[in-house]
Amino acid sequence: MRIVFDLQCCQHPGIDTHTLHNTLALVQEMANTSAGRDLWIAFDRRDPARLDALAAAFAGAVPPERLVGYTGMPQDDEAGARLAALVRQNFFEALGADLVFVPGPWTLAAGTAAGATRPRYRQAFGPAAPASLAAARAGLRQADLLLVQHEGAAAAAAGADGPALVDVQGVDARAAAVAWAAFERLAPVPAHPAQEGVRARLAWVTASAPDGTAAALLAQLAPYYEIELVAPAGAAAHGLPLRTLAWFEEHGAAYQRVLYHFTDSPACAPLPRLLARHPGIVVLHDFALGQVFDGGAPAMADAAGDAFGAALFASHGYSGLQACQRLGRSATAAAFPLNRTVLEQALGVIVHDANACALARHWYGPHAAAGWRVVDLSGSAALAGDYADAIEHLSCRSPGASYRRLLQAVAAAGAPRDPRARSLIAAARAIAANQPPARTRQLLVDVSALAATDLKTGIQRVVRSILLALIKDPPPGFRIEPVYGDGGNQRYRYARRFALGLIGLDGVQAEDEVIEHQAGDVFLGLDLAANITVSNLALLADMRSQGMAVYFVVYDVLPLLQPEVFPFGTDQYFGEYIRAVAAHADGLLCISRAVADELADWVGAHAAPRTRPLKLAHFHLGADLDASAPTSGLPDDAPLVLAALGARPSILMVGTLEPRKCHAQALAAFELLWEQGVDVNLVIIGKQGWMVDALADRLRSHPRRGHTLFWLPGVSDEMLTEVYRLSSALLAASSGEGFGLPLIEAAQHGLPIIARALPVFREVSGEHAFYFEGKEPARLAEAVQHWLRLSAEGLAPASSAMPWLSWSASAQQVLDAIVREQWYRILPAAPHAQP
Amino acid sequence: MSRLARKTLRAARSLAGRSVRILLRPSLVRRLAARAKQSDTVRRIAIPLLIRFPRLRSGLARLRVLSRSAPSGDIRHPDWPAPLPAEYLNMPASERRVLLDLARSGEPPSHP
Repeated sequence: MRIVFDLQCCQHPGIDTHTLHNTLALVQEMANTSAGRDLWIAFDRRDPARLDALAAAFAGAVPPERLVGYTGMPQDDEAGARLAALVRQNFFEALGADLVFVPGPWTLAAGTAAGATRPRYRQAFGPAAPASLAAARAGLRQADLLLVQHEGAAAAAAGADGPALVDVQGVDARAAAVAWAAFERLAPVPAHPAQEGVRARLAWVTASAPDGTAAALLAQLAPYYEIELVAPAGAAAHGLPLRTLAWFEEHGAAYQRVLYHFTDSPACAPLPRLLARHPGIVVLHDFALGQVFDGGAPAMADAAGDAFGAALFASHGYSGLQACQRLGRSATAAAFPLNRTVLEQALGVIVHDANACALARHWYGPHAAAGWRVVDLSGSAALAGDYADAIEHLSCRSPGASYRRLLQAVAAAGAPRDPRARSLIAAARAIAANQPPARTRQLLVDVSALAATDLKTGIQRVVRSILLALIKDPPPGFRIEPVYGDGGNQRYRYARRFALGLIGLDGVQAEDEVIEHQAGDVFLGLDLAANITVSNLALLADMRSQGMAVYFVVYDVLPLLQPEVFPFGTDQYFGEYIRAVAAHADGLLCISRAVADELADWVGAHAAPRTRPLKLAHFHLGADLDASAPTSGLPDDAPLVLAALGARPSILMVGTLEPRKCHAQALAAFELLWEQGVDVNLVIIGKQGWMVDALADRLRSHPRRGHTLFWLPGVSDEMLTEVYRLSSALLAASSGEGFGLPLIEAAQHGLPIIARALPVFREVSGEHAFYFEGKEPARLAEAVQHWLRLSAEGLAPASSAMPWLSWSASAQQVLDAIVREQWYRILPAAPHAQP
Repeated sequence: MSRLARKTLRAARSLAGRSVRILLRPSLVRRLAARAKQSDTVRRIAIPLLIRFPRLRSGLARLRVLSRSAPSGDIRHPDWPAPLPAEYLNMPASERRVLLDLARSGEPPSHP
């Protein structure tokens, strides 16, 4: 027996402190003595004022997943109150409640107006004060039980109309025991009309004639239902009325029960359309349904807009579409189940083997098979009874069945039919929000900056590469969904057009809809969209309050640690961003352990005290160029440059020109070397960034330019590869980095590394690099000379054995944290922080 | 702080308390955002203004939203014969389905 406490009265601003205290005392006492009972606590999500405090009051007594929020709707008039009652009733029915107890003053309870249908659960109210007892009994016509705290009231009212009265005589442990005993005496509402002797009309929809087992089952079900067979013309009807699929499409609404028998066969192709029009129970004879949707078109370009493409995208998202491009249509139909739409549209699902439930959980997450009925066809004795019980339960008690009843009740209540009516829009929002989690869990990847403008920055390259790796190999039970925000706490939208373009399906039409989200979804701020994020804090807090986990990637904290090498104001807005994500995220992922340590130190010293712990993880970036869409092409002067590089030792610097990269120190050091007659090239690859105007002028007008000094802004990956091949060493002189991808790229080309002794460089390169210290040009000149001597003697550290990750492995490290909950550090909450 | 940044900040401070509207074409916003990545001059102009007037940031974001092609005429859907409310565009798919199901309640429904 599922019992739900609806705490809406305790959230109501009209409740006085004394009554609230007494009500909560009784309810907490009941929760504390609920061991062994299926107790849930429900809150009204629209009234968050007391929500945190109430949730805290039941922590420990009720598991967190049984604390659920529902969305009510305004009750401006009698019609609105009736609609609100139906919406509330639908929520509790979809939750599977057998008894809903509304503790507190019943006059404050919303949604108790008489609905058009009697709920499928029992209702209890109270404790009612003696003065309001008579009014309560008159007003709560649909209640089954009213708790009172008035000695003798129950006995005095015995035999009168209205709900049963039980005197709990207090709010202590004894009162809780009395209330529990009263609840347990309530007989449950009959599960379905069949139990009341009604024989329903049932359509048995199949694409093939029933075989021996099915024919036997049909015969056994005859006492329970008026069965009609819906099958292709000419099928053996086993003495039942035979209807064609076309006839059923027009007349299906006349049946009280519909069973769709799905096998993985092209013959079942018409069934999904019929199911969408006339909802019913799906009997899965095969779990995968790829053949149902595979009409035989050979190319993905044809499939993207047809039923196969729609089913593939609905079931498996971009991962399915991408696999179809790689594998082809038939292989994809064989490799993926493609059955998500069918499962979502079903009123309920019957399978004959528990393995189907395991497959559903594997493909669509841990709750995917919730509510499914497994009927073992091998045991014949109780088969028909089990089948009928499953059919009745799923047809009457499933969330889908409750939704159908709600629509009928709304029609009967005379609600407006114009979708522009305010009340209908409010009801649609509340009903949609109140449906139990049914979709595959989503990993929402924020690509706000990249989707708006691809500036080809290093961070955007990471975003593209990680996203593609996630799409290619999503975590089991998750669907990868790129999203973007516009700021101003407007809801995020699916980046459908961007994502389709990313996987090479630019021509496919798609709408960037507002996102759906549910408890268990994960939001990953992979892109650096600082301004949009800081203007979405209320939205992110709301997403978290609905059970989503929110994580952000932090690429570095250099603007906060070295503000002098960034443009004016960068530390201010970047600090605002880091404070915001540290306060509102469940966890932060850094691109190296060094950044995680720097971030932890900075948050500890500068961020506001947190009410919750902050999880920290780190991952390394991938370095396989192929996965990040490399560019190609050589500049006109490539032969001259490459010839000069091969003529003498060449030291290479890769990265945008900015003060942090210490190009000025390197140039001055090489000027010293050239003065000393050292025959060596300095090659700089990177565009001009900020605060380097003077350096750029020096490089452009340098007398050594084109001889032993080369500055190549904006070269392709192809040219970069050539320069790597001909260079002697990579110089990583930067005074601070988040990761240091050029070190790994150098190692991939077997290029030795001369690196500043930064923690992050030691983390990435270990013993595979030659390290130097000091900001003076002379120190660097000495280090380069030292390395040249070691190199000549064959003693310079080699980089070729340096380990590095593919983007796929990098993405798995991200998933280790946000899906598999493997964290590097957890920063504790401040003991007295205010929410 | 550069001279240009100081001058910009001084100018921004002098605007305090006044009702200021800065009108930028969406294409200019996009170019400014792109240029700010590479140009010191654009950064020196834009960042002091954004610090002094943080609300400009969301304003810029809103501008970007407005720059999307706005729907002209009635909002329609193939499954519904009459105009739909403006909110329809900003509803997630499940809300849209429920709204249309409610509007035709009494007929066979789809699913939330």
